[in-house]
Amino acid sequence: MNIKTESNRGVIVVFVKEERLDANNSEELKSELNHLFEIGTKDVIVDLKEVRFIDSSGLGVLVSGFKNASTRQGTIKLSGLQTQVKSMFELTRLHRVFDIYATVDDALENR
Amino acid sequence: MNTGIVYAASISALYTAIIFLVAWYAHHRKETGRSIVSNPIVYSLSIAVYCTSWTFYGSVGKASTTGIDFLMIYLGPSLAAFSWLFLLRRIVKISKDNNITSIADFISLRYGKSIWLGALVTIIAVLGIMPYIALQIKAVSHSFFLVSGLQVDDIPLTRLGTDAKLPTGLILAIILSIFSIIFGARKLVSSDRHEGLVAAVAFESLIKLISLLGVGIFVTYFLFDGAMDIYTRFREFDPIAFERLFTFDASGSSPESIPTFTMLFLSMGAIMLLPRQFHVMVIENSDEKHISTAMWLFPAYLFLINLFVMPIALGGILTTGSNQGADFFVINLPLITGNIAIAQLAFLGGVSAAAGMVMVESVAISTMLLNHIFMPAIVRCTPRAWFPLLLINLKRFGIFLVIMMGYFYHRIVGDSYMLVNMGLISFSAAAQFMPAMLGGLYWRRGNKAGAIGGILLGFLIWFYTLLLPSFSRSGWLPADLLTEGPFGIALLKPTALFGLAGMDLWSHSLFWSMLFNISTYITCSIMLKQTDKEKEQVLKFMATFERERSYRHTEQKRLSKPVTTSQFVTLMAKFIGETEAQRAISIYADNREIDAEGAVSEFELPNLKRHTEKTLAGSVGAAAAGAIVDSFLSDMGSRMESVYDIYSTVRTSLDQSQESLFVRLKASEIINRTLDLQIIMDDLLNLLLKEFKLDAAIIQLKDESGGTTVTSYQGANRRLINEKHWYSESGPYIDMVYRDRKAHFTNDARLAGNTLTLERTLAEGIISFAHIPISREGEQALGILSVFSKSIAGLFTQEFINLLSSLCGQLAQAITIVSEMHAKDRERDHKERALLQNARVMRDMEIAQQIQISLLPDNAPEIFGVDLAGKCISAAHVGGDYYDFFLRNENTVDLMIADVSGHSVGAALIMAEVRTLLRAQVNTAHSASAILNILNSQLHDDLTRAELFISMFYAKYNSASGKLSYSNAGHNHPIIHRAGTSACIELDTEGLIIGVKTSVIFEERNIELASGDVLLLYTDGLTEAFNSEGEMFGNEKVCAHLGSVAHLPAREIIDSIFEAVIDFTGSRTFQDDISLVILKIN
Amino acid sequence: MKKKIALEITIPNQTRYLGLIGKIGENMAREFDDTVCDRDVLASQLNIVLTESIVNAIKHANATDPNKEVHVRINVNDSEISIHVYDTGCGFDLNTIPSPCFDPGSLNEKGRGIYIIRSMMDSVEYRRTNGGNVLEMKKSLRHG
Repeated sequence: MNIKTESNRGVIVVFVKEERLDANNSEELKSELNHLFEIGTKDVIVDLKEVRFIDSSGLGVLVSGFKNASTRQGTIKLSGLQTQVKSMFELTRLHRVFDIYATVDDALENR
Repeated sequence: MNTGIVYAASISALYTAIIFLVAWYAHHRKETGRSIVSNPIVYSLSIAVYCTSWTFYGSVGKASTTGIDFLMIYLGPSLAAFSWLFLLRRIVKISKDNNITSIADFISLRYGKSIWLGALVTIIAVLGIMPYIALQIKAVSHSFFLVSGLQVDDIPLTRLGTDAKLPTGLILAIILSIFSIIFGARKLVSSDRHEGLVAAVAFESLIKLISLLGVGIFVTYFLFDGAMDIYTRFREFDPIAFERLFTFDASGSSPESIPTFTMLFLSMGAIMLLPRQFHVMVIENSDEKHISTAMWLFPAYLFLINLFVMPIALGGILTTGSNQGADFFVINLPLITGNIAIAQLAFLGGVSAAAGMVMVESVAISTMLLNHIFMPAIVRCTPRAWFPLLLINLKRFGIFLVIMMGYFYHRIVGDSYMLVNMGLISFSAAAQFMPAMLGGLYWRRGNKAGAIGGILLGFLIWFYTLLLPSFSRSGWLPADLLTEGPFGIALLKPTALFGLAGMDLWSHSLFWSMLFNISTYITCSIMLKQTDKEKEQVLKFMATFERERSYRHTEQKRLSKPVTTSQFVTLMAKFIGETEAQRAISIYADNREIDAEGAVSEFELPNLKRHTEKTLAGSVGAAAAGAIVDSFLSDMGSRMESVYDIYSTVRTSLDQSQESLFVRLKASEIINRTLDLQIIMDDLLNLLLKEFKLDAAIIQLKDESGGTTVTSYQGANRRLINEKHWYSESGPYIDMVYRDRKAHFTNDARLAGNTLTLERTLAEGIISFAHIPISREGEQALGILSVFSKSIAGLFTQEFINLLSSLCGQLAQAITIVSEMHAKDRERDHKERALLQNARVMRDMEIAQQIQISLLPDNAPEIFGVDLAGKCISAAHVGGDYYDFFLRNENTVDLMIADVSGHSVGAALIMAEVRTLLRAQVNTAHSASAILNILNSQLHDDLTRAELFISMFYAKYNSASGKLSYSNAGHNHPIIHRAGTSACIELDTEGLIIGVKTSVIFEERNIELASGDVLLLYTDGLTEAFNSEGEMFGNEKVCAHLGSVAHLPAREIIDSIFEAVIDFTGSRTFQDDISLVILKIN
Repeated sequence: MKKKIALEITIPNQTRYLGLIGKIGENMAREFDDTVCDRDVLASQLNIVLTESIVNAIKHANATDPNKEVHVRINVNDSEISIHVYDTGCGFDLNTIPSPCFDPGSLNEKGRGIYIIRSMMDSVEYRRTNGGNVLEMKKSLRHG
């Protein structure tokens, strides 16, 4: 899976550079997030700008990351959701759970 | 009649010179390595030193007084000779093995190298032999008087203008001393053979035999007419005496006569036990094989030398009229009858007999004196550089002393007694050694106390019952001592001790001395225990022969502090000189491992110590040598201590004790019980800890990367092993073990020295440890077993190390088996996985093929004026070809052919995607190139991700216009066969294969088709099909074949092409998929 | 012209082909005119439904056993899309999956697949067939 991680003003930004985030590759994102929280990262932004498609496994990984962040008093924010992806969040009501921003910069500004 | 003093003296001098030359020659020959002495005949002749002047003169004397009883003295040795085969051989072997120097040395060595026993034997020998030497001097000087005509003991030197008188005996004694010193004490090493001496003695034995035979022949055949004549005449002369002389007198009726048994017994003992006999037979023996020759040759010699004794004796009585002076009949008979030459011969024979005896005896006894009287005193002093010189001179002095003592004894006691009795006194003294000697050889329990007690008591009784009476008779002591007993106590009368009267002097003495001697020896030996030192010696004496029956010596001693070879050399040099010491050590080093620093293995040290002792023993005797080495060791701060007996019970003489077998058995149980190495190692270590009271045991094994890991660690107080753990200090030892592939151990870490740090190990309380390589015979070590003891220094004996090594060998075997098994398991797993993987790949390919086949259209669409057909024949498990037709409207049909680069499920799914994409375009009016463009943009990402490409040819045919428009994405150029022509037209347009670039311009072309024209779309499986010669089917064949079948319907054209390919390749299965689409215009 | 597209694909029990299958589903949706329905919405719905149902078959019914396979049959005609996903495993109980009343906004990491399928398809059925099970999903198309 193609993931790029950047540190920006104390926040780790994870860019998911995949068209699909599904059962085939979501585990890799999960372990990346787990790793980040294990090494003490508090605030993470997951950028899904390039993701055109997400399935329930992809959603599950993000939920897992959210819970992981919460137990460590951290946050996980999402940015750059495409229409189809956004509709999946809405379908599963997860858009109420996550703080979702249009861009990474928006997410960074709303700390 | 006589020869006169000058003549007698010059004959004597000449003879002395000859003997000297013989001795010198023999010595020279030996120095150059070509010994003339080392042969059985010389050996037998040298044993004939037994025949002294006592034989030479005394036999005749005895024969003329007591008759043929004299033969007993020679019958005894002849009988004893039968025992040499086992007895003498055994003594010789033990003596050679231990560098024995004398009989005193031999006896003392057997009884724990007892200094006291050696001294006692020496004193008895000196006192017992003194009369014997005196006898020789007396015989020679007396015979000299007879021959020279002098009637006094001393030679008056009046001619030289002085009143001084030269005592003949003294001159003789001095000459003999010089002779003995030259040939008997050239070197200090007494265990070496003295070839000059032996040669002289053998030569003298020859002379005395010739001499006596000569006199005998002279008397028998010249004075008389043969032996029968003498016997006949004597019977006439004195029938009573004749009867008496020719009867063995066993009753001992007269005090002078000696019972047969007593004589036999004494002489049988004397042949082995007299110091000189022991010397020539044992010390001077050069080859055990000589003994078997001597066994018959020596008795033969005795037979010959006694052949004429009886005739001479009887002839003497007949000639002189009585048996007065019978002791010198041999010399007197020729003199009386005026045969000076024969008398000279007899004289020389007598001198020979005496000189041989005195020389050997004095050398033997001086060696004993040095080793058992002087040395024990000297050993107490610190060795000095001049010690070797002192010792050799002491030895020379000893020779002189012994001969002089004999001389003075002769001057004081000499005349009082019969010659023959003096010899018997010596025999009786020597007989005291017999119990300790025989017991020592054959009775394990015989101990030092018994030997000392027996010999001492026997000696005292000998002294009291035999020597005292001899003093008394010579007037030195009051005669009433003999008649009344000391202080008037009759029970203590020397000649009738405890009231035992009626026995002759000899039998009486022999009875009591032997009774006390033997009973004391046996009683003490049974009642008292042997010391360790004695036990060790007993083992040596017995082991000399048992070793040949696969006996293996187990080392039971160790040196508490190691001593180097050079230190031993220095020690030896102080006593025997640098040269001898170096020679001794080079003999030792010959077949042993000694490293550059002269250090020997700890197990070798006791051997080296023994070798040093043995070497020194060759010069100073075993007892003194032991004392020297012990005192040296204690100066070094070292000592011999018992090795720790790892087995609690008494070990057997087998090399494996029961415990060793038990541990081996347990170990193999542990090893065979499981294949879990961890359990094996843990259990093995715990077994060692339990059985041998070790405190820690560690196994480390090499891992695959070449490093080592501690795999098992047992014992109390375990801590994590890191660089701070005491075990890490064993690193250098472990490296050595890996390098040398042999065990390294330290029996006392406290003495380990400064080269290696053992601070933490010592702080842990560990005092001995061993590291043993875990390896199979001759292979690299797989690891190391380390064992540590906190309580026992000297735990690691050769035997224990051997046991541990053997266990390590078993462990190595187990490790090898287990690791080989794991390797096999791994290999099998690997193979299984590979097979599974392969099966999965095959499955995936089958699935891909299924998908591909499912994608292919079942039937070609029907369109007026067009005959359309398509067919794909897949190669085994390969799928990547795809073709399709779409009917756009009544007049238009789309046809395409494609080839995906992979044969995976992914490739097949992409084909499925192509199909769905194409289907979605059916309703659109896109051109062929536009469709390729759409496909390229839609599929690009997926193809890139899957690393796949698609080549595709897309065409649209309008049957109304007869126009074919087409576009190509890098696919094989389809060919058109025009009706009525033979050439083919290839359809080619510009265009890149799909999946390489996002935007590609696909060229589109048109061509008019006429009736009978045939269009063939194909995949490269067709043209690239090859036959067994590697030749490709190729475009030309395709074109030619197409031409030949163009008249057939489309379906049949396809079948025909496939047939042609099958014909060409010779196989019904293809290397690659082949797909064909035919569009024929009707 | 009456549309009738049928596609039958068997894939190994692996998630790596999800993307391609989803793509095929999307492409099939594009056979329709926008007049019939929103093509793009239908495309993404088919993508998600195929993805979820195949993941379901791979992970739950076939228990991620790589030796099993999943068979997919897609039938499209003018009035209906039907998708059949066949597994060869021991199957699962559709009813143990959280019911429609389950709160999708809860923070459970799993269990949204069937909910998503249900929310996008008209009917969902899971039943045993020869040698396995089939998840049958149907969606009828509005006629403009």
